[in-house]
Amino acid sequence: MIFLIGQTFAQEKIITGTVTSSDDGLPLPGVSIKIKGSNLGTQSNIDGKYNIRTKVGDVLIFSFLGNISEEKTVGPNNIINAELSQDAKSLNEVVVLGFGQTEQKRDLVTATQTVQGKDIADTQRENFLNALQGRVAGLTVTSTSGNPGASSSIVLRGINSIGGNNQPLFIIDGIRIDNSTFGQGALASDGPNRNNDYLNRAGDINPNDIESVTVLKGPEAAAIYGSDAASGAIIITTKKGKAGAGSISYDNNFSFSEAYRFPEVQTTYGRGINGLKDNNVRSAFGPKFEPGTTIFDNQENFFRTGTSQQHNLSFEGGSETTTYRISTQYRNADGVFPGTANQRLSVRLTGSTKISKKFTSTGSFNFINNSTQKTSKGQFGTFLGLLTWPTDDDITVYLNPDGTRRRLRTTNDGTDVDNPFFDINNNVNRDKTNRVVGNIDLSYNPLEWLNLRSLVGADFYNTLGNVLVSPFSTAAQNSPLNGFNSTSGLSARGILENYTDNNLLINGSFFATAKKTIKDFRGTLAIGGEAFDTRNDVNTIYGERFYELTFNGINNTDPTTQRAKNTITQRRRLAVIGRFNLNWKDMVNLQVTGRNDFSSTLPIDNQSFFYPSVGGSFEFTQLPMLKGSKILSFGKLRASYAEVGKDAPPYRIGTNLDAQFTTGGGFQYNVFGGNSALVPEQVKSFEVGTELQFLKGRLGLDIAYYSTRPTNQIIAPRISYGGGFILQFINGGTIENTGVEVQLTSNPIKTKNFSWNSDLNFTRARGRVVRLPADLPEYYNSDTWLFANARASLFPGGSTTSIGSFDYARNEKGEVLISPTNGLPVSDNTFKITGDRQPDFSIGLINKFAYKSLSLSFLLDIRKGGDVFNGNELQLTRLGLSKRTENRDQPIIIPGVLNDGLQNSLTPTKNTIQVTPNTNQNFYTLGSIESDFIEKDINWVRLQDFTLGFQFPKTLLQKQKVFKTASVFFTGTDIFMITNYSGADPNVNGTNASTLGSGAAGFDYGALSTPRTFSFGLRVGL
Amino acid sequence: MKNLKFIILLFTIITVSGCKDYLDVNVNPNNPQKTDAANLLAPLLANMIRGEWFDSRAVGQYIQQWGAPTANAVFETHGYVPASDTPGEKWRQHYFAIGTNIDLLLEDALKGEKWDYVGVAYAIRAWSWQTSTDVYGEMILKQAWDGTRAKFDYDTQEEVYAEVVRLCNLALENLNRTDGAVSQANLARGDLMYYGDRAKWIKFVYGILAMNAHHISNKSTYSADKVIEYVDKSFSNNGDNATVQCNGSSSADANFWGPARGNLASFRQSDYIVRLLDGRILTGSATPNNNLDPRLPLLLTASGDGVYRGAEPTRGGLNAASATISIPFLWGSPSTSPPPIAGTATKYIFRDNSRGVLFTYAQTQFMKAEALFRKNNNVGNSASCAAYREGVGASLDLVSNPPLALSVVGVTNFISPAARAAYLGSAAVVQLASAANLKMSDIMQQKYIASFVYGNLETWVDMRRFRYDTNVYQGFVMPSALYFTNNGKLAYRIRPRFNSEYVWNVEALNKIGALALDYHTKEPWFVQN
Repeated sequence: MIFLIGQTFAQEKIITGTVTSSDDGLPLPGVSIKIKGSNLGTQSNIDGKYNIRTKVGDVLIFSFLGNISEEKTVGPNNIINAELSQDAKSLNEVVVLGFGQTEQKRDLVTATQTVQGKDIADTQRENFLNALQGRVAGLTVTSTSGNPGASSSIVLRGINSIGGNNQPLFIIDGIRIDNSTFGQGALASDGPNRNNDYLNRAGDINPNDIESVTVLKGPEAAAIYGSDAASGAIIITTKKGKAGAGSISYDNNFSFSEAYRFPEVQTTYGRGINGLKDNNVRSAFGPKFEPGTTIFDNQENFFRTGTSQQHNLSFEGGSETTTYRISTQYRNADGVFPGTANQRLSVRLTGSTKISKKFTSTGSFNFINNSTQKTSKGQFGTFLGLLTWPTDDDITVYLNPDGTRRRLRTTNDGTDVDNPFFDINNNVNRDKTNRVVGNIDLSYNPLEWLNLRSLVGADFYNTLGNVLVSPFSTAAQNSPLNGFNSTSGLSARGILENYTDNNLLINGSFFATAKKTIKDFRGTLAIGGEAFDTRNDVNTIYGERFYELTFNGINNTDPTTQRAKNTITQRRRLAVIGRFNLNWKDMVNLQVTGRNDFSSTLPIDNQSFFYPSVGGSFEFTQLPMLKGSKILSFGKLRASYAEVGKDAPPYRIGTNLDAQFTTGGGFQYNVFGGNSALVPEQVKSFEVGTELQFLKGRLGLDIAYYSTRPTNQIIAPRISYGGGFILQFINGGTIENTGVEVQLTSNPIKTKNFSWNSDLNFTRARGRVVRLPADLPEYYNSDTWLFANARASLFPGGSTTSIGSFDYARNEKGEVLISPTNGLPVSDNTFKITGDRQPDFSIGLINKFAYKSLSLSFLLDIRKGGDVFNGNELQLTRLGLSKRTENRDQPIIIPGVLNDGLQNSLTPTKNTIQVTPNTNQNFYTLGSIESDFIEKDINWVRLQDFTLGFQFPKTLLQKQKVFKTASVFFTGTDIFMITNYSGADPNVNGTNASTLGSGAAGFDYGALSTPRTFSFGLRVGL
Repeated sequence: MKNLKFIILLFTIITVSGCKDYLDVNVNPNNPQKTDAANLLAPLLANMIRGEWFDSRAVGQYIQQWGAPTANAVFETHGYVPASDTPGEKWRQHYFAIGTNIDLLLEDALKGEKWDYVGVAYAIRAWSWQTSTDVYGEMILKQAWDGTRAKFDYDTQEEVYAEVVRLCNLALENLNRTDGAVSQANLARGDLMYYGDRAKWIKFVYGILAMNAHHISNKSTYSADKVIEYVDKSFSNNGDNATVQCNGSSSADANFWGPARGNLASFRQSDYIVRLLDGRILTGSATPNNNLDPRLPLLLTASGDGVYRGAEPTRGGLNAASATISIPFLWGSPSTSPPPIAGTATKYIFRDNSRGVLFTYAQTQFMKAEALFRKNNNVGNSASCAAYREGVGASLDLVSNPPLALSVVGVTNFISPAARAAYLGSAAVVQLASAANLKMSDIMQQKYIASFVYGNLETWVDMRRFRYDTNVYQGFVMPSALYFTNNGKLAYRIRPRFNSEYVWNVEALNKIGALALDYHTKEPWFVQN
């Protein structure tokens, strides 16, 4: 450098730029940039940025271990960006892990998987979480329903918390964001959390802003991010502006959706009781339809083609010191179920500037407006209203000629289930969210080896919800005026409930990171802290008895019926974190972390808790005898152990007092007993794995085995009232999760014009309840007790995803007991394990083909095993609408023995009582035992998505000056499903994503199946 | 480096000093976790009524005070409903609804030297133990309300009885204090029973002690003198009765027996109570005399044809087919269908704003009469007869003037002084002059009438003490079919609440034999000799 001083050639200048990896577009640090033919050069920094003093005509050589080197000639432009492609995969990739810090992938000691933003955006899905299913081993996404704005729940490596949250933590650019789903318990009506759905808030994210998503499945996540990442972390890196000439890109997408999987109903028998016609009942236990009776395909007549359109516009650009990116998205979707729709507007601004040589600041600001129009779900929901509509009645005629509501039942208005058309046209169920997410990232390098970095972020949203049940509707809501019992709009003369959900999450961190290389040792030491504050404030107002029968407003309700409720939850946490990484010769790597959390929700003496992690990896292909092998290009073994503590829900140290409505008012303790002796939950996890690459990365294999053992869970089970409460917060219980994850990546064909990539993600997870807190015999989540007597119940020794239900009563020999009075089977009236929702394994298979400008990719989602409770079918059977009730003319003697006192004797009485279901509907109503409706070993193969793309060749585009790039695409999602499941869709959630514990995935009741969607669009760059 | 040191130092200082304040956000902003004793008292009183009466609907069938309109109702067969919390409300009342709320009240009252509140708290807990153990027998005593446990062992009823005495003494000690912050005005804030009158609370505590001493009448340790002493220190007239105000503005604050709550729709007056009131039992007459007892038309309701009919155990007896002879609802409403709606003007304590009657002067007088009778070797004498007649008179007065809203002693005067005197002078009531003719059945059956509707649990204690003796309870009919697991025995206790104990505390139940299918027929300690 000294030698250049004093030279004042006019063309001499400073070139700056960013080096990225062509594989994933992520910045590559440590790339050497040399001027060809000289010994001058520099290295790219942690963000892939570099600057070098050179002159026009010089050639810069960009080279990086494991990557093909690139040469670029210096021209008039002062910015030269380079993209390096790798010759062996993932050797030197960096991943963004803790608080925005990048790390070399080779240093990782646990399995992480990265999904490119492009792959996510290409699916054109509204909620980006749904695009992750199948793309990451160990990750399971369950969408609540096929409606626009539906919530999705995501679980990594199984259930860690019996009664708590099992969703991973969401991080965008190093900052936490909120992914909660509104829970109906905060409503003045204290809803049951299953008759409505609310978007999980990560669904607000515009998929087009995502550069990449890194999924931390294992101990690493918790070691870095602490408690909230005990169930893993989803690390999102957003797109940033690149220096150089500004660019504008626009793309759009128009889609058409169609519902194609329905529960089947019989069309032979009409309404009635025990074989006799009665049009005043809903059940179809009447006689056969008269010949010539018109049968209506009411489902077909009700559904419509769902449509959506989406427009994305983004600008980006920048100079050597400052870059920016502005992106906007507008999306409007109308669901296949009339009355459902979702609109989203997102505006995001990201800017980065180099304030001085040592000081860089980055900031982003995202505004989102998201509105959803919904129908009710579950037991009295719109979907079941449709499903159970009499087939001899035309559903489209829902009004009388005079415009009043047309009734099916003339004798009793109050029990006449709403016509779904009446429902969607008269009842209102909608919410609207405005959200602002912003963050600031300041990075300071006082010394070459030292980085000080501070991140501060805020995530604020406000959701306004509005639910109206018409005074003419029999749709029901819990009513605070009626002991929180289900109350119809008709009996309440109209129900209105409005709520405001204000949520603020503030999160900041500060880290000092030192990186030094001394001879063969490369070390990183990071010490820092994190503060986190989340406050949720829900205000609800409820009223009944409308004055104006159709006016939607709280002031239209009788003031004496108005009820208000305020629910505030606040949680704060502080953490001190230390992390040390030592690498020897790029071969042996050791990583140690320690984290101490201080949580506001625990008793003061237990507020502080420490947990460590330790891990190591050994890259054996760096051994001299294996180095340079043509077959095995890369091989690594890794192992890691981590602990993590988790705090309690807020305000549970003491017991809360509830206002009473009895004479004199006053307070009484809530049914949940607090506990002043709560200690943090503890999760211990262990992981071991290997990464192998063959043939210069053409074939890659990553295998991980893990085991996690959560203990001392904080839950509030029902216990003996002897303790003073009905549900008591306690510590206890142990779960054991084990699993195997395999990622196979391959590139079987790679020629100049054609390439084929095929990736496979395999997941096998097992969760077992070793013991329940306080050695309770059972723990269940009451939200999941959707219909009849089946629910998500945990039993000691059973799976964490068990279905508990009633079963047939049997004698000691296992023979079914039959009631001597009616010849029907007897229920044992006991909840026991009758199914397990956990699949044996699941596979995501991704194939990508590229031929010249054409590309095709598709993802198959394959699942083997796992049980599903077909609640729809049970409901249809009990109403005589199921296909299984078609052979009701056949007299039947149910095999079994009579429950006559002799059932356990040596000579039980064999059942000889003949039942003719046609004249004795009890066969279907009393005789349908829940365990019969747990469908076992459900498999499926689903074409989750495909995208066909055509990129207009450069030669074609050169003829015009407007577009630099242009492409068109055709995409489909959920195109087909091959399954042995008898119902509509085994992959729905009976409640919604706010349900805690093992949730209600695998409970199919009253939720719309996922429709198939085709979309097309174009993408241009200016 | 200098900068770094400074930053680390600053960071450490902020973390350590600010940490505690920053984390101090775990005080619930939605609901308080501590409150003034006055705010806790009214719900406690409301829960006393609720717990007592939810279950007394089943007990009313055991004692054949009322019956179901359908045949073979499970409680009329002296059975129980498996896997159900019906009846289990008393358990909930004792351990949860009163439960630790008492401790919270005590915490505030002791700190504030509100000795009157302290006394009331001990009194309520004593009452709750007494009335609950009389239903359940063995209960969780020593380990009760220990928030660190999840399993709770049972203690003997004898120990619970001793605890009642201990708590009553504590109550008396505190209620007799006048120092500190004792104040009638302050106690009245939450006291919807006696409006701050400590003297009446003291009488109530003696009433509990009387129960406690009296219920062990089968034991050698029974002391009639003690019962008499307690009764004399207890209620001196109907104005002292333990009754709780009910506003009746909605189903939440309405009297349990009022039409707003609809709690009586599946019950009909029994044949036994009809025969007691129409004189067939008490006068030995074969034909009913509807004009004998002035309480008859106030407590019961005639069918459409003017005849009083009652349900016979296990037989149903609604006579629904005929509107004229079908048995009307309770509530004193002539309606047979549908049940009267909220606010309907009804009789006796069946109004929405009738006070919740828990324990009355009449009941204590019958206790005294029984004690004197026993003391006199089970022969009537003038002392026992006088107490007995006092009890009958008090019952007539209560029915004549049911307590309503803020009025502890009603003012309706449904029964004229002449009718009152006529009944007291009738053949249905033993006269003082022939006190020696007084029989145990006279005392117990007049107590049965006096306790109609509100006092089922006390009546059941009595019937069990006499082991359902039909010489004493002359209208009691052995149910034609007993519940199938009863092994031919009548009910002697209610099984602990299913969803509390039979699901979550099975081990402890097993230790006391409560898993046996006929556990509900096992005599509790107080019945045993």
